[in-house]
Amino acid sequence: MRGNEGRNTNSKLLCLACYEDRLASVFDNAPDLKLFRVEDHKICPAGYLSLPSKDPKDRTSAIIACGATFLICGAICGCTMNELEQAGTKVIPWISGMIDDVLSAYQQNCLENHVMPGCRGRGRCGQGNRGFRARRPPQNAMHAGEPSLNPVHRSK
Amino acid sequence: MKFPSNLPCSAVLDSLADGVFTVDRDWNITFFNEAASRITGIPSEEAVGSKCWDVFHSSLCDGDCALRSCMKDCGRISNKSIFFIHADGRKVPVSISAAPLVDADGHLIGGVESFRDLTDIQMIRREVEESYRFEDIIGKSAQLGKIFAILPQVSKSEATALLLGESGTGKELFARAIHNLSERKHGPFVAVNCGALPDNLLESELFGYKAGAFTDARKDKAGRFELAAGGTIFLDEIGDMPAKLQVKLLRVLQEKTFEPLGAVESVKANVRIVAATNKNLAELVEEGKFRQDLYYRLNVVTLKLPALNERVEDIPLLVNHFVNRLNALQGKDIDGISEDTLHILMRHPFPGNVRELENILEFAFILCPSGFIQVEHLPEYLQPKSKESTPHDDMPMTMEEVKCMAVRRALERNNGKKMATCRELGISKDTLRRTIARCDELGA
Repeated sequence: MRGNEGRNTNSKLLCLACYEDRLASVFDNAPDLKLFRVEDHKICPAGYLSLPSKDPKDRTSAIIACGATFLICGAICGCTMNELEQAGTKVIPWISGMIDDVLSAYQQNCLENHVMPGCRGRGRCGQGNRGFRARRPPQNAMHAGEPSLNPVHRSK
Repeated sequence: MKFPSNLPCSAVLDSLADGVFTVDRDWNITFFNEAASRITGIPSEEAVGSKCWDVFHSSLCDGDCALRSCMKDCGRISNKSIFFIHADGRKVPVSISAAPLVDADGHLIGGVESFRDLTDIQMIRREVEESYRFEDIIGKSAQLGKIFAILPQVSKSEATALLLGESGTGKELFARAIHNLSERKHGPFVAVNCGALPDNLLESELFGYKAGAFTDARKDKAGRFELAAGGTIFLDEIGDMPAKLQVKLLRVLQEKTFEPLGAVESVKANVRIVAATNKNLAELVEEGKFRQDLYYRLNVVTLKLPALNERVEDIPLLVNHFVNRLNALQGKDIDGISEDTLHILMRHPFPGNVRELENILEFAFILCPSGFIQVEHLPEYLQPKSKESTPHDDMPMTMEEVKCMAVRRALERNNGKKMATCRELGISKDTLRRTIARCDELGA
């Protein structure tokens, strides 16, 4: 499937690397990729990819082929993340939680609450300066859910 | 002996070099020792209370959990090699052991997993493998060791070298090594397969031609000898060289000159010649198929390259080398091959030598997505055969018939080698001979 077709300019295609009803703890382990269309603060299911192959190349190719704007996943190795980012898919790694909770947090721009242990800090977990917004944006923000460049401070 | 109840358990566990963590029945981490924090980079206070898969994020999480399987089966897992992803995006190889935890009444209360960082061990292993590398040739066997010992001296001399070895033993690799270790290393290395080109084409390829030498020769063409000036020319499959060209080659060796087709003047041959063949040149000389004088000219320094089945101990090194190489070429991340797969390879006779091993691994790479190459990823001809049904299997047999069947199958397994069959069956050579004769009489 191609996720780029019929998109308006504010439309984003969100991809979640899943295991059962939660995010897979490791991107390479995820047997399912769930796709969601994000338009005007609404998140609608947009497809599903089953990935029996554990070949990282197959996964990255599938995500790139379906035109995902964002990938939200658990732990991911640096080379896979670079490959996806170079192909234009922004990766939001080291996230954990149930799928509905993660989607809701994405919508409300508070994914920092779902960051894996050990990654709650400035520049941790391969994020460099790409932390998450520490505060919620206004409800009418045009780009809800996009990670900002403001590093979050470690929550105690 | 019981563990003393007054000892501070966590202090004992914190003193270990291996990471240790425990989980309750809901997979929440209940203890995370100091080594676990050091190896994973996750502070204990952040790990405790979290789900184990959010902390350890290993290749077994999300479906293949070691703790889950041993808590389910009340068994133990020891020294399983996996990797986890470190916070900095590195894949860290670890060896894990896991066991269920039970209380005083024998009720399951959780599990314990210990893990050891294998990064240093892998680094040391890589360094050791490097020490078994000579240029691009991999091996630690005695046969190769002897060649490695003399190769530098052979390379430094200008003498013609003759490489003898079966197909796939790496003759071109050795030729390149000789070139790279010689004074001519900055010059070109030109390889020619004498068996791959028709006679007339081979001649023009080797010696070149002048414009007008024959129809369609509109301009001069430099031959391989000219292209290799200042360097090394590698004449592969020299045993297949036609008689007419053998004379011309002999002249190059004797006078260090050659004449391109249609030329009136000789050209100086500033090349070092390395020749190779998988044929028995001495036999070809006896049969009159190869010039004796050329043979003696070529046979100044001879290196006999061992077949792969003569250096079985090099197979694991070669497998690692090819896995790393194929990973780099194909952008894959195969960890290696499983023990049982390696056993199959170690027992295979490899008629195609190192080239066959490389092809086998290339095939396995197609079928194996990640992790370790397993038996099912090997080509069909290497798959263990299920016990073939024979007409005898479903009907009653006499003891003699059973003996015959056992002997026949053992001979098959040992490729007809009688001594190996005797060793397998635990019988003498005479007993085997008598049994075979009796079986032939019975037609069994």
